[in-house]
Amino acid sequence: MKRITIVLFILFTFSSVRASTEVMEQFISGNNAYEKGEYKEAIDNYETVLAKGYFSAELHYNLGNAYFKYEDIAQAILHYEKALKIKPNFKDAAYNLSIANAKTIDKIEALPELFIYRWWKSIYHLFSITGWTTLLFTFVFIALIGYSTYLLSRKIKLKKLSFYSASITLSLALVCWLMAASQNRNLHAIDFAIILNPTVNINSSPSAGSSKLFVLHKGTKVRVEDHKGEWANISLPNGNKGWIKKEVLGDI
Amino acid sequence: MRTFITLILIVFFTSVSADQVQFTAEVSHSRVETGQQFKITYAINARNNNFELPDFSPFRITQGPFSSSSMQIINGQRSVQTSLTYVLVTYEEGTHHIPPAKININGKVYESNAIDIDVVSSGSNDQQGTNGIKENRNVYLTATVDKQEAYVGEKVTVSYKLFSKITLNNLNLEKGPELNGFWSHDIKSIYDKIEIKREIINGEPYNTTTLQQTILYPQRSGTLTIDPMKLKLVVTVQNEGGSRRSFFDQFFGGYEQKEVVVASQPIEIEVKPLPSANKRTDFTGAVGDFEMQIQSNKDSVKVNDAIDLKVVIKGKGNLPFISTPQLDLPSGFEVYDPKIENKYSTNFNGSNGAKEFHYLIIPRHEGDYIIEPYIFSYFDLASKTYQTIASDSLLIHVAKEEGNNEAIIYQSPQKEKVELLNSDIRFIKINNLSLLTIEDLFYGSLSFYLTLLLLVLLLVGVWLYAKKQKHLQADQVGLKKAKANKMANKRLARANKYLKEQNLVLFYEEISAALYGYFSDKFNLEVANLSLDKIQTLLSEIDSENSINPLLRSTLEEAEMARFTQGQSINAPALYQNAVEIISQTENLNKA
Repeated sequence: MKRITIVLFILFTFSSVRASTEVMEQFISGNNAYEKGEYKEAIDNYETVLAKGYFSAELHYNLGNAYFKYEDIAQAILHYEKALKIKPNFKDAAYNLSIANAKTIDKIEALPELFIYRWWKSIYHLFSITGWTTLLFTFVFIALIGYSTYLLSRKIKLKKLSFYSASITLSLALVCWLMAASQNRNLHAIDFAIILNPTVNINSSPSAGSSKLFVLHKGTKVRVEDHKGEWANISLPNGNKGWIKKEVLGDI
Repeated sequence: MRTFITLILIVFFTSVSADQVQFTAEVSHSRVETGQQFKITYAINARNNNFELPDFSPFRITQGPFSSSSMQIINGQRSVQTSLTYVLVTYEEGTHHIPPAKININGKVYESNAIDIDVVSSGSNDQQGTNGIKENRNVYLTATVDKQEAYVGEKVTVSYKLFSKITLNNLNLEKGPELNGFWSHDIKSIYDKIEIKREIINGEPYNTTTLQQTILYPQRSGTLTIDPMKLKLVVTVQNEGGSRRSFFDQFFGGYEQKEVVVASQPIEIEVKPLPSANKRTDFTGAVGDFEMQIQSNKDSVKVNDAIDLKVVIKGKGNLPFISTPQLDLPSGFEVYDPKIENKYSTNFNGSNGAKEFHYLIIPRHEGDYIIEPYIFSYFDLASKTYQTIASDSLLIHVAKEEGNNEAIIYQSPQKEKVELLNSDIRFIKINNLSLLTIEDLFYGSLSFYLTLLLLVLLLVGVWLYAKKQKHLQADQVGLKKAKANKMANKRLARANKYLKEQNLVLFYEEISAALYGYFSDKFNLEVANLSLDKIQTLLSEIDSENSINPLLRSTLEEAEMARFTQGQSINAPALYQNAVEIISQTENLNKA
């Protein structure tokens, strides 16, 4: 019993990591400014917290809201996306993002996705990385108990039952690990970006003189495929590709 | 007319020797001025077939061929006369040779005579292209151009000048020149005030007046013709002599009014196309010498505020023809068709001044925009090359529009989007706030892996524990077995003590307990599960001779019996000896 307590303690220490009270107070004063309708001040407070190296899904969500109210749709979208990146099952962020997206200019028809990919995404979006990690340990722990029962028990029936259930839980734990690993990878990588300038030209090659392929407007989400100096190679859900100056992009 | 008569005469004289083929060439003038048109006529007294033209160079055919044929029957002899007439012109001075023409009649080739023509400079007339057919030398009209070769869009001036030795009473335009293929602008019109000058031409005094001057811009390449201008004049002429002259006429020197139609000669202009080499695709057709610049009335506006962007093309050349420049404006600007302001005048030297294109542009999104330099190109006549001018790039700052939600007005959102647009976002999160740094992430951290490792180690621990337990269990059986004899001996010793004390009840109990305990340890079975039958079954498995079983049974039964009968009629020392015997025999079995 003592051992279990230790494991559980370690399991939940990560979620209880709290920022210093000073930073937290700044976060809260941002919230207060938002409630008073002083959106610019709210933005400044939230951005200060971010600048100190702290982040959370809630912080990005609140900042996105402040930008939305401040009528900077592109920044609002950027921060909603960031909130969703940290917490893919953040329903409110997804809802507000859809409203913000409705206000953007570019309407890009996405190519249909493969059904397996859709399944993967729907599972992926069930929990955040913290959720998946917690589940991972829960399952591993259950599997541990199962295998222990199998090892220690002398009754054949109990032995059989505990072995099979432990194996199933272990497989589930591996799935959770895969999800957590995938979210962890996405959290650290920059795969997508939001266009922050009102109007930008997409060039055919990474130089200012190259021919212009098409035009995008602020708030549009693009996939960042490659970099070259000041330029990024981007692609759109409809399959279009081109080069854009990095300075107009906000990395998600 | 003269030619025709000549032809008739030729017909007359040549018809004498009718079967002889006559093939002659004749010109209307053997001496011409440069630019003066003349006729060359080929006559043959046979049907015209397989006629082969000579090389006329440096002459150029301007009209023709005009063909005519006639048939005559004289003294029963039939003769055919065919003629071909061309109108030629040249601008090269000197004596030019026109080689003979050839004709093939019934397989025989005949040649005409060759002709030499003296071409002299147009003399007193210093302007190129004066070539009036001065039939009526009293009054004639000339058309002169300042050049006979021009590029498309290059200015050509045509002047119509009337020469007269006699009094002109009235002047009416019968037919104005048709200027197909040209853009024209009259600098001086026939309806303007007429200025009469006196000039000596070929030693004779003439009254001259320039009736019309027109600026022409050829619009297409090729040979373009300036059609003649025709004037109907009423002149006063002295009656010519003859019998019909009346007395009064003689006396007063009779004059009469006469209507005369004079026409200028047609002029051909060779219009060369602009070279295609180095021609930009956005060439606007400007020919001349120009400057260009772009101006904007504002460089900082709000979204949806109109900006007047002005492209000014200034200079000398075919300004009327410069088409609208295509500006490369950044997207996000709405552009309307430009308003064109013409600030130029056209005079004898061509068009001069500026043409302004006013573009109304409306920015629809905020931001800083750069209007890329517009590159204007024109064809420079002096160097005969294309010149380009690039404007400065303009920087326009577009600020956010106040109040309204910008940009939303200009899209047509889909139905499901309308609902979203009208709904408000959800409120911020106030409770359960968390903040972490990237190092705080548990996944992938050292403690994450340590925890996993710990859990795995825990499992390994459990496994090791289970293994040890099993081992221990196996060991205990051996130990019990080893201890079995010892325990039995202890019990038997105690039973012996009870026997000596004559405490028979405890003695029998101890004997029974010793035997049961011994076999319990021996077969690793609980005492509770142990029965005599079970012991005997297990014992028979190891005791092949089956010598112990009957003794065991009788001993245990006796001990049982004795326990209930309080030890009467039982030989207690014999029972004790039996119990010792059973244990020692079983031990011996084990060792074997």
